[in-house]
Amino acid sequence: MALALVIRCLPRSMNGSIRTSHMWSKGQLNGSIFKHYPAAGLLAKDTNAMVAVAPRREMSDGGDHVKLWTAERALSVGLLGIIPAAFIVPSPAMDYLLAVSLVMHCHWGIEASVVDYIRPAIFGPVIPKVAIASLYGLSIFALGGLIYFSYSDVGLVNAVKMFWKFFTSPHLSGRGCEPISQQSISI
Amino acid sequence: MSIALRRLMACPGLHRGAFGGVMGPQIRTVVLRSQPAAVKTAEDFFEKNERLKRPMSPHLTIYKPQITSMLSISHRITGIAVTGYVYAFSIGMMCLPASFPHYCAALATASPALLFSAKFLLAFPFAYHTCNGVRHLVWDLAKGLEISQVYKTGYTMLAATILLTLALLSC
Repeated sequence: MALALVIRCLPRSMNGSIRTSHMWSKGQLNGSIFKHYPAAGLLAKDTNAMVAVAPRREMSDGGDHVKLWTAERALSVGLLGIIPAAFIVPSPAMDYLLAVSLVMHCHWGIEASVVDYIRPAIFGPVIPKVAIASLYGLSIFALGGLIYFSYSDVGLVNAVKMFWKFFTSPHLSGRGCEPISQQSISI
Repeated sequence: MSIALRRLMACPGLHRGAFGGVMGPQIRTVVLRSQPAAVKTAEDFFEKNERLKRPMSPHLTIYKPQITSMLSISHRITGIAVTGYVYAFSIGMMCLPASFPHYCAALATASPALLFSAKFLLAFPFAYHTCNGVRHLVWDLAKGLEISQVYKTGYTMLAATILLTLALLSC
C-alpha cells in the first residue's frame, strides 16, 4: 500500500528513468522494484500533468506599479492641503491648481475601480478597454471643463461658496448670486 | 507493504504461486508498455469550468458584513460619488449656455428641505472620503495595521466624519 502511494506521486514524464532519490525515506523501500520494472511508474494514477499554460491576461500585467502608487499617495497628501488652502486663500492660480489635482485624483481613483471590477475574465477582451478609454475621455473633458469654468466663469471655489451661502439662508435667495471673492473673477 | 506484493514484484514470472496458488488461473501475465501521453490542448481554469458548466461558489453574498469591509467599500462608494459630482458639474457647466450665477439664482428658488438635502449629499461623502483617506494614508506608512488599531481608527474616523459633516453643513 505504501508502494502504491509512492508510485502515485511519480510524475507522468518518467518513462524509463526513475528518479528515486527523493522517495526512499525508510530502508524497506529499495530501488530494486524499479530496476526490474522500469515502467512501474505507469502504474501511477493518470494525473493530469497539463497545467494551465497561459491564464487569461490580467489588465494589470506588465509595468512598474510603484511609481504610480507613490504618485497617487503624494497627490492625496497634496490634496489634503490644497482644498482648504483654495477656500481660505482664493485666487485664479489656486483654482487651476485645485482643478488639476482634483481631476487627477478622481481619475486615478475611478481607474482603480474600473480595473478592479471591469475585468476581461467577466467582460471579455473589448469592454474593459472601452471602459478605460471612456474614463480617460471623461477625465479630459472634466479637466477642460473646470479650467474653462475658472477662466470664463466664477471658478470652482467661488461656485461652491455661492451654492453654500445662498442655500443655507433661503431668505437671501432673492438677492441673487454674487461671487464672494471679487478678485477671483478678474481675468 | 504486504509481503505477497513484494514477492509479486521482485520475482517476475512467479506470480502464479504468490498467493499460495489459491488464485489459480485468475492471475495472468500483464505486459506493461510505455507510450507518450496523449497531447491535450492547454485549457485554463476558467475555460475548463465553463466547459463543465459548473456553477460558481457563493462568495460575496455569504460573507458576513463587517466594519472593516463596510468602511472600505464605503470609501470607494463615496469616492465615486464625489467624482460623479465633480465630473457632472464640470462637463455640465461646459455644455450649458449661461454662467453659473444664473443657475445658482434659479436653484435658490427650490424648497429649503431640498436645498439642505443637496448640501448634505455633497458634504457627507466628501467628509467621509477625506477622513477615511487620512486613515488610508496612515496605513500606507505601514502604521496602524493591527486589527485592533484598524477597529479603533475606524470608529475614530466615523466620529470625525460626523463632526466634519456638521461643520461643513453649518458653514
